[in-house]
Parts: sequence; structure tokens; C-alpha cells
Amino acid sequence: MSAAKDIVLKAHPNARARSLSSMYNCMGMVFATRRTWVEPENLRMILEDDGYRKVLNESELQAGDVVVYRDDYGEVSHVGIVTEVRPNLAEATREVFVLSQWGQDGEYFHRADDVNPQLGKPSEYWTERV
Amino acid sequence: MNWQEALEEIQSVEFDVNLNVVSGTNAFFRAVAREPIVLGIYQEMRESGELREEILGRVYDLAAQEIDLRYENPNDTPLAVYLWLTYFGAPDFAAMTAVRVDQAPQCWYARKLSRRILEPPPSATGNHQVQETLSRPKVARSSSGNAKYTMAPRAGETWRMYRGKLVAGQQMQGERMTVSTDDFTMTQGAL
Repeated sequence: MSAAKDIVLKAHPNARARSLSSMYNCMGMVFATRRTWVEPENLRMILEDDGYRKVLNESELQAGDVVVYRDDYGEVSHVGIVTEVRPNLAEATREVFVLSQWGQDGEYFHRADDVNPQLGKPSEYWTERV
Repeated sequence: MNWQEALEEIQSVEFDVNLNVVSGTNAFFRAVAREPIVLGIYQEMRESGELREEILGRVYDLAAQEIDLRYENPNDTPLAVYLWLTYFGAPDFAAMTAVRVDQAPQCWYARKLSRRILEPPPSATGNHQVQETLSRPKVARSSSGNAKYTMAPRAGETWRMYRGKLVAGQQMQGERMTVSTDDFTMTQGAL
């Protein structure tokens, strides 16, 4: 795990390791309190069953919302929890920061788009807020 | 990079870490199918019997290695990749390789694939619900930029279009064919 952290942080120097465990994956971190692996194919069912709704406007985003990544095939490849939405006044955009578990390689704080290419790109956000 | 170096790369910690950032079985094998080094090996092993033998030998060696049973098998990734390569690049040896991989303790992705090969699910016998897919290797790209793929289905293997992807279902006679599509997927039933 330590080797994995070194390799991940070398490629993503702005990321910060939170913990190193391979007991759970990104889905397990977000939806199963870090207890187990949950296949990403179950995401739609979980979102529906738990009453999540899609965040249609990025201005609505808040810490605690869920970011869903998709790969080149359009398949769900990764999920994470939004930890901060930071306005970038200079570029009139928002920077979204996320906490997510990178497969078996540990849990990292990172910018939403600063992930290993294998994890795809942030494509949508979901919330359980009313 | 010659294929000996490529195989060493597949067995490296860096390769293992890079592939294991993904979070699910299908995502893992889609990532395998995207790896240039794996695709290079795949192309070469279709021509080289020596390479096919080398991969088979490595599977036997890796699967037989003693490991610390408290942890995941450190050879899980290379075993999964070699089995995937064997399934697509030397299908006649896939079942034999799967048996050996299946005997390696504490594997995760390698075990998932060996189980799929050795115990095809009900979808192989007529239930066409596609639940899990394996990505097929991409081996060529057309000059127009459209993705093109070449493959050689085995006699009797069936293929069809599902959600815009070619999957098991349309009868082929084992001849080589080239099609243009975004992705090849194989139903687990076809395994």
C-alpha cells in the first residue's frame, strides 16, 4: 500500500492521501461506510433506492454530494464525495474537490478532475439533500 | 520494447498500481483492454507460439508462488492480464490456463475471470440479459479515424448488437471479420 501511495502521489502531486486500505472500493467508501466492495454497476439502483437526485446546476453543489465518473465507454468508473466547492474568481468557474478511494490504492483528497485516467472523468453529481 | 520487457512491465508494481485504481471487475478488464502494452502483447501472441508458451509458463510460475495468505495475492493483476490475453489471443488454452489461475490463492480479478471461463453463467444457454461484459482488444484503427477492430471469432461463436455494441448473438462461421464500432464487448455468457 505504501508503494501504491508513492506511485499515486508521484503522478498526482496535488492529491493528499487520507488512508491506505484495500478493504473497500470507491463505492464502498461512499455508500457502505468503508466496510466492503460494491461493484459500480449497482450505482443506479443505490441512487434510486436511497432517494438521490441529480444536481442539475453546479452552483447547487455542496460538500457531501456525490460525484460520478464515467470512462470512455460511458460506463460508471468511479465515485467520490465532494468535500469543497471553491469559486475561482479569476476564471469565473468553480473548482470541485473530492475525497475518493482509488480502487485498491487508498483514499485521496484531490481535485475532481485530478485522477488517474483509468478512473474516467467527472460526469455528473448527485445529492440526497431535499 | 521487446515482449520479454513488456511481460516484465505487466508484472511490475507500477502496472499493478495503475490498473488497480479502478473499482470493479468490468472496469478492471476495460482498463486492461485499453493498456497499449497489453494490446501489443495481444497482437504479437497471435503470431508467436513462443510468446504464447512464455505466457502460459509465467501463469504456472506465478500461480505456484508461495504467498502470505493474510494478504491479497501480489500476482493477481498479472495473472488476470495473462488469462485475459490467453482467452482472446490463444483461446484453445484458455480453459487450461483458467484452471491453473483458479488454483492460485487469494486472487480477486484473476479469480473472477477464471470463474467466468470455467463456469459460464445461465446467459450462455439462452438468457440474453447482458449483465457483465469483457472488453475485447482493439487492434486496428481506420485511416478515417473511426475505430476499427479485427477479430477472429471461433466457429460457432455467436454475436449480435446490444446497446450499440457487438456482443454474443449474431451467428458467425469462424471466419475473420473487421467491423467498425466503438467497442467490442463479450457477454459473460459467451465465455
